[in-house]
Amino acid sequence: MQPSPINSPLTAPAGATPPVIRLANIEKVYQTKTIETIALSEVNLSIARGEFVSVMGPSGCGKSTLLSLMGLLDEPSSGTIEIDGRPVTSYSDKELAGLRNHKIGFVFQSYHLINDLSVRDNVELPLLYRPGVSGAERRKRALAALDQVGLNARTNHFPAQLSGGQRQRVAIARALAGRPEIILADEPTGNLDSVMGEEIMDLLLGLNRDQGTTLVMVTHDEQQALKTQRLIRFFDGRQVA
Amino acid sequence: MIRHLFTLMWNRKRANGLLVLEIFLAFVVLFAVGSTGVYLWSNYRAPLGFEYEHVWEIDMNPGNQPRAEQYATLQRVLARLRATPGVVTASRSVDNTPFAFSNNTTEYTAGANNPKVYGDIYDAGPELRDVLGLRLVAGRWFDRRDEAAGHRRPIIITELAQAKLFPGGESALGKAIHSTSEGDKDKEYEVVGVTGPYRAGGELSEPQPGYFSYVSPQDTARALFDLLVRVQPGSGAALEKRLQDDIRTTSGGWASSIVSLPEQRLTQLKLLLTLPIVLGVVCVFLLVNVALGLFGVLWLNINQRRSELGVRRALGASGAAISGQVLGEILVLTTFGLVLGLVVAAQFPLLGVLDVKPGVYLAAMGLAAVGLYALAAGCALYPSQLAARIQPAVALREE
Amino acid sequence: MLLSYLKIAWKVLLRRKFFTAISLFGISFTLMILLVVYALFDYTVGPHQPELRTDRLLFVTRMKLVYRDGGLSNGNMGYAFLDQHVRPLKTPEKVSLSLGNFSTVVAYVGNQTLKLDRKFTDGEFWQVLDFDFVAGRPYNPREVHDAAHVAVLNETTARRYFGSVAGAVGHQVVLDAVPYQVVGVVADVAISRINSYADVWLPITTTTDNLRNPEYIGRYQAILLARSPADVDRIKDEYQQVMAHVPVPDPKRFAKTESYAHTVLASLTSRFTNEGAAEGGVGRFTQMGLGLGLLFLLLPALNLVNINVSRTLERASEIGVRKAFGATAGRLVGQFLVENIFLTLLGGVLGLALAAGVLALINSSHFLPYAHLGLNERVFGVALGIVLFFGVLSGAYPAYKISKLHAVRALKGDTGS
Repeated sequence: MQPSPINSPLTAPAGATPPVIRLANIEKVYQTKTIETIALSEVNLSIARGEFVSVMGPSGCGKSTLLSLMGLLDEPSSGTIEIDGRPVTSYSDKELAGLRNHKIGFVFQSYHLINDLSVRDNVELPLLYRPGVSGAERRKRALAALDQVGLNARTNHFPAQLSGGQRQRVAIARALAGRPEIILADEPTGNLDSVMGEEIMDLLLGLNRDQGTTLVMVTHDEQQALKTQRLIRFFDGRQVA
Repeated sequence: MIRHLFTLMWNRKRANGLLVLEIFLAFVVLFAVGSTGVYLWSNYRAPLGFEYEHVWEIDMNPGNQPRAEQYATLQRVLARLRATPGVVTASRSVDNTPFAFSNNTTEYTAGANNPKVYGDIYDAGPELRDVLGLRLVAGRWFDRRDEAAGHRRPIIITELAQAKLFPGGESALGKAIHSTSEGDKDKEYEVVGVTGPYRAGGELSEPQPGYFSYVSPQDTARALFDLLVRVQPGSGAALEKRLQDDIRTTSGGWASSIVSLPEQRLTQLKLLLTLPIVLGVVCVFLLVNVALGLFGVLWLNINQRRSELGVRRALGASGAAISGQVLGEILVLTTFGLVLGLVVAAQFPLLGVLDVKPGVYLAAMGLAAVGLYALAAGCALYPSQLAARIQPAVALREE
Repeated sequence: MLLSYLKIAWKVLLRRKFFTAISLFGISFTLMILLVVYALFDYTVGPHQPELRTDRLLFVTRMKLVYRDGGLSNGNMGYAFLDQHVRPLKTPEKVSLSLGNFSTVVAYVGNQTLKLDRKFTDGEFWQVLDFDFVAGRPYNPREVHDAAHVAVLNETTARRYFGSVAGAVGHQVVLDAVPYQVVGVVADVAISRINSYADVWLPITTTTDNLRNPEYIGRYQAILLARSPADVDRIKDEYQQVMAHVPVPDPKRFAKTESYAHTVLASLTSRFTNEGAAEGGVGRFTQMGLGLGLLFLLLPALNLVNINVSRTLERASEIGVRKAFGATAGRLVGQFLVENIFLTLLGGVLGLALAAGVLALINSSHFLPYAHLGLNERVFGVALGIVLFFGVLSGAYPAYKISKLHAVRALKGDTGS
């Protein structure tokens, strides 16, 4: 695996900084009254700054759980998660929310746009949860993010008026608006046809290449996975490659 | 954030339209309850101005006794009553006695440059002040001097009448007052005294200006059949029967009915409060209904919006921010309903639909607005906590 | 089909007990309030003892004198006028003259004062109306003619004065120091029956009023019994013909006289609105009653609509599956309406029970003297009407929403907000 050749301003000199995300001895168990399901076990994983990592595996292998844990949306049953070298175990809900807001951007398979908000309002959303960002600043950054995904002509449309590919671009713009260090993408092309999927993939590759954004992408598509720098495979809650 | 909520709720106006309509109607209900409540309460708080304990009202019916004999009979009856042990004083009156559903009103003024005042007239004998414990503020009560009065008949006005007749704040003592009605224009009255309030309409009536017109003991035409009598504390049915028997025997057959003012007051309160209380109960039911409905709808909505709320969590909203948002949303909807409601409510003082002071409506609007927000916030409290507890990882995986 | 709908409806109601409870609360209390109001209305103007034959009774209670300058003078009727112009009417089977209101009279029992409401009547009064005699008999026209000092008491007064109903008949009651012999005791009449209510009824000839006073406005009223319900309008016409020929008293002051024969309801509405027109303001009263009722229904209905819409959206995927398997929009709407009407009917049953409870409470509180409110077949009918109206009112909009739901989107859980 080759490190990214591009020296973006976000990428600090290699070796000097800890990994952006580090998972150590992670285990995740879902418990209901009758059944105990082990979703992940013995996961040890580091994502370095500027990496584009893809995660593959059959349905139910724990990929999505992994992404939730990385995105601080869920807590592991045991083990530690470190962001920028600092364990988040003792963080409060509010501190976790702050970390998500500043460091992490999400892209989902089914876009998860808010139907009742215009494209621009959707993209502004992460900035809304960041205190001290003025309305004008939000607007500027949202338009810049939309520009980046090539949707600046549709800012006042509503999600229902867009195609699937366009919706996913909006979702990516939303992830970009907060200028996160890492974007977590859960099957971003899963609902799209191959042409549109290709476009979205190119967009993500471009972000990694041109801006040094760290990316972790869950995918079913071997072709896409091969385009990334590192491929991790999961099977039955364990990392197999 | 507030702007965001307004945008969001405005965009959802079609889905939320019926909810807003319901909130609007709830405001109207609260406003109606508030107006009635504020009106009655402010009236109730104003001083009554007289003592009704141990005062009895006697209504007499002369049957078919010839008119010419009635005055002499009344004199005999009064003399007998005043001599009866247990009776403190007795005064002649007309039928607008305290707590009776009867009033006597007129319009008068102190001159072309002074405002016209509309208010009650009470006929009062020299003893009425002692019977009802009226408080004199300036001047004097009726006495022997009034027997010799010249062309200006003496009257005593209430403070409120003085304030309305002379907005400049001058004293009314010695001033001439005359009626504004066509037939009585030439009749002039002279103010000889000013009393505190006298609200014969009872605690729930709106304070009105009023004046007492003098009924001389020698007056043979007016105030013949209604008496107000102060009795010793502890007097009961025995004295009542005795008075009635005395009246019948001294008058040669006048029938009479006696009712105590405390009794009369309770009867009046019962009658006047029945409708407000019944309507109040109905309104409380309507509000409980709205509260339950709002709560239910919000609860169901949270379940339908799990993925949206999950996304917000992922994008950096804390649990507290989510519950704040749910609460904020309903408060925004409440504001929409409130604005509609205020537009409707404002018509009442603007058009003067009912003859009530604008201050009552304003207070009612304020109370209703606070009540509406409290109602909405109360209903959203549990759903908002429910929303805060949504696990984003789970919510985002559903669908 | 209907049975399967009902089964589903029942299951849906049980599935979400909390929402079923909210809906039932709203429906049943709404109905309760409306039923209590209607029961009061029915008790006041419906066929109840002693005004049992309401379809044959007419009341001449108000006289209106219109001044030349436009002013009005309004009141009960003068006795002489009624005697001269109403008693001789040919169409009615019987005419009775009595005091229009009641006056207070005092009786003493030991150290206790009884303030009794007294009504002076003629002998026909007892034939025109259907009093329920608990003991004794009414006084007859002969006794009235002779100004006999006889009295009919209501049950409560008999009990308070004599201790028992049985002990009253044949004994003397002293009213304002005048002794009367009790000839009969009747069941209590509620004050809402203002034309016939009293505690004690006395022959009209024992009054101290001057019955020969020729003034048109006085203190009296006439109650007319028609031979058949169809005769009612004929009596009204005959009275109008009489009124047309009645001379205007003091033509210098008055422009005209107006008086009408009214049904029970109109006699009350004209009393309270002073609207003396032929129909006595019944139309406006009905409009206002219906208007207020609808206004009151609006909020609970809207509430139910909101809950229904939310629940419908929650069940969007179920609806989607049904549509996908070929259910037409019409059938789904039908199913929903059956569910909703089932729910409202359930609420209706609860509402009736609650109303019965509240009416019993009002009766036992003695808030309305002598009231004996209850449910009857007319109240049941009104309840059914309101429930069905409410069910349709609150079901229509959600049903429309259902018919608009897109099958595929509904399956995806997308309700299109």
